[in-house]
Amino acid sequence: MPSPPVLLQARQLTVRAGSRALLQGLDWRVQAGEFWCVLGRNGIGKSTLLHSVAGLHPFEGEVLLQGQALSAFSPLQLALQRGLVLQHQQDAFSLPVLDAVMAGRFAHGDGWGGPGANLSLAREALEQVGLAHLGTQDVLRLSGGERQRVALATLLVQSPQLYLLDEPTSHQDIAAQLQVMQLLQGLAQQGKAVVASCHDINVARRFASHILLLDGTDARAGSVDTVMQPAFLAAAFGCRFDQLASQHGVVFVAR
Amino acid sequence: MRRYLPVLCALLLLSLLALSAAVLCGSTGCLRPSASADKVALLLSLRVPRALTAFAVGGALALSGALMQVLLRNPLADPYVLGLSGGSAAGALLAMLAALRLGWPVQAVTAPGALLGAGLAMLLLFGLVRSSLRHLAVSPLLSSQRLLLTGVMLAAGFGAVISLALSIAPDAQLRGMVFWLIGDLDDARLLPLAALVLLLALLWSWRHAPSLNLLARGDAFAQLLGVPVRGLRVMLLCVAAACTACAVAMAGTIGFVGLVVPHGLRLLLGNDQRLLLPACVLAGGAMLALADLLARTVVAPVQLPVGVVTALVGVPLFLWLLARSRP
Repeated sequence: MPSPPVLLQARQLTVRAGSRALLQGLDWRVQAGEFWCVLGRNGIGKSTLLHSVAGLHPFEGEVLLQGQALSAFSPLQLALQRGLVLQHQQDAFSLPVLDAVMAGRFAHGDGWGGPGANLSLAREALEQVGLAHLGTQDVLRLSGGERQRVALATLLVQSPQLYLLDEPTSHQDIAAQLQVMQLLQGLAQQGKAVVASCHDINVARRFASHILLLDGTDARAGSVDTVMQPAFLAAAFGCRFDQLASQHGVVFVAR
Repeated sequence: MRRYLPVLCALLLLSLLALSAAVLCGSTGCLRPSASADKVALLLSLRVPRALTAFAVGGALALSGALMQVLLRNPLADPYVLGLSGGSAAGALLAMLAALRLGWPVQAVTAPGALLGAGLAMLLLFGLVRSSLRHLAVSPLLSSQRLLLTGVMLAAGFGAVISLALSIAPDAQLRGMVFWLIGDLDDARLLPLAALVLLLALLWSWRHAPSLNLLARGDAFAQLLGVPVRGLRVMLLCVAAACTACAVAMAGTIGFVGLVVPHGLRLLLGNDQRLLLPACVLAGGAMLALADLLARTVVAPVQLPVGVVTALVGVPLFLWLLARSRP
């Protein structure tokens, strides 16, 4: 069986925030069908890394999407390759939720709205994130968690190859967290690639297939079992971890 | 898009009605079919250019205001917020003063002075915010702040120049200058230029309305979904500036239309730029044509400055709209 295509490749990637180097010389490959969680302390560069590979933030080194340099894509072509849910959703103007979600279809040439056929895509996406009942609401009236799921629905209708998500579970209640992670896992199983930054290491361990653990300017990338060792986690987070067995596998408890 | 056609048709009809009212009525009353042909021809030759000027100025200001609100992601932005009008007004007043000193006709230099001032303000603005126009801010609220602050500072600077020009102006000219500042639709010489600019601006903004819809929700957001944000922002600023400069050069700094028309339409029609931008041109034009009709007729033969009328009618109308919209 041929190995699945490499959707994202970083070579000697160095990312800075101002003068501070966050990541240095990162080599990283994401293949179709993989679900990566990016773990690490606050301010370690998880968001900046996602912004860089999405083309929002300058970087040194190489980022390749499907083997082509990031700079070779136009914004429109890029939108068909990768999508990113930003950490914070802020809107200044009111807008019905369905229209907000339809924004994801821009790169597919649906800016003028066609004969309404694609609105069903938006409805479907809202249903997938559990917000089917909010289609006609104003985005300004939604809660933080709901807005985040509207952004996720927007990413679903954008339907890129590579899904990037900056803390998709941060504003979600526990049930919604599971729903979101299951959805992302499903996307990876359909042959997409998913990269999500995350703070809950147990949720990450349970749903992700691979982990990128950022530790200072160093990083450890690999399958869940190879990276999620108490020693590595302790070094990255600066606290010790106990492992408890549960019916869903190992659970880490920090102490 | 089809669902928007009835609204646009209704607005078009409203605009035509407003224009006909502005042409048919005036300080001497409304035209009757019994009026002599000479009189009709004379009145039309005076009123048609004036009504069209009002329409073009109102449309340009409203469009420019709507575009600025998208660019700055701030519903309180108006065409004047970035100092473009301040620049043109300062240019026009300084040109008037220079013409007085040199003995040139004041009327002839006002519009070129205003255009020159707007151009200068634009260059200053671009020079100062060059780096932040290149940068893509991830937080939609932060991204426009630098541009906004720079523009507000420029506007304050030009405000000082305007006050200076007024304070050193000879008493005999002061009244004319103040009236020009408040807004004056007498001069229709720039009408062909303004109509062309308005038409091109409308075509550009309508074509890019889907991109502008995304831009209104954040620079990074729009870029991620496929909008070439950096280029679009520069063009957006240029288009809005051209509209403002034409309007101010033609009619002085008529307040309020550029803020209240886009905002009022947003409350009524929603925030889809595909509908909002053309609707702004039509409603802004109709509103100013009607306001000018009021200004000419209410206390005829005295003419009120049209800027005073737009504010006097616009403020209560807007407050009513705001109160009626859901909190």
